[in-house]
Amino acid sequence: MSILHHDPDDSLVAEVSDLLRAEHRMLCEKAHPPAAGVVWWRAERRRRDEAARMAARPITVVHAVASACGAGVAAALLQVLTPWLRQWISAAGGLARLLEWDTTSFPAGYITMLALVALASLVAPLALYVALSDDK
Amino acid sequence: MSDMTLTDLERTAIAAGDDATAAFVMDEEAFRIFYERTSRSVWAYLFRMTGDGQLADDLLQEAYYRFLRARKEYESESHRQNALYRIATNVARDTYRRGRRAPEAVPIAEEVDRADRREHADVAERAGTRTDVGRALARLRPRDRELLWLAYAQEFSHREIAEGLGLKTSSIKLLLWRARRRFMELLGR
Repeated sequence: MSILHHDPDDSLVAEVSDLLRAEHRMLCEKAHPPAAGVVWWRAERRRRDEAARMAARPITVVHAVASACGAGVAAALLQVLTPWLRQWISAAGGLARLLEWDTTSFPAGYITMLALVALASLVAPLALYVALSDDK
Repeated sequence: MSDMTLTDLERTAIAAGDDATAAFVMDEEAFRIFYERTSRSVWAYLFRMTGDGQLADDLLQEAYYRFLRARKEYESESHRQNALYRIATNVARDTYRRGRRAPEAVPIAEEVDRADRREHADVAERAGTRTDVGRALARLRPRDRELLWLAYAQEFSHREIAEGLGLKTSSIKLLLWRARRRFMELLGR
């Protein structure tokens, strides 16, 4: 034989349930979600855009590496050409004062390092910009 | 007005490492049927979770996009719907994490019923109740809101709710009981 038991929480459940079901019904009636075709089209377009962006990423990395290599080559060239440039500028006029420091008094590695640091500080922001700009 | 653009959401999805090159989980016709069956209900859920119709539109698009990209096979239609609600819940939670304000009011209920109120006094009373419901839901914690909505508006089972919200099935009963209490307190009953 079953015993009839009234749980006070049951009426609370029923009340909450009624309220939320009515709210849900009302919102579903009044909802105007975009058409299925529009949602599908946007999703397709976005998938293609993302696929293209991901395919372009390796190229971006190659650009960044190429920029760094270019900076290195430029630094090496500058080191090699400094004596010649100095002579050329001296011959050109009174600009010799600008290069009066004597490179022979410095260790060769030290000058190379200085030149590399200077160039890297100029080129690195550009390389970073090129590397990251496609990710936006 | 929504201040979160779809682009923000796109970046999040990309950051999550989704494979953008893979095909969608269903074709356009199958999607249309599924969407027409579920979209209003999902929109209502997102609207109640965020309190912003414009944002609910954006999140709806995002939820279906993530669903299409999930590339999972589902045993049944009900599993598929559960998966969709799980995604919608995560999309809404991402929005909370970005520091969006909590839902405040229920403009839809007020706007929709403004005209009705002039005509029928009983409708005005019902509209007032709905406004109260919206306000009370908005003042609940997000998890309580999700629990109550999935349990009573969507009529999900405890297991489905647990799967959707990432909780233990055994804890749902107690969590629902607490959420109900809070909700009724906020309604002043």
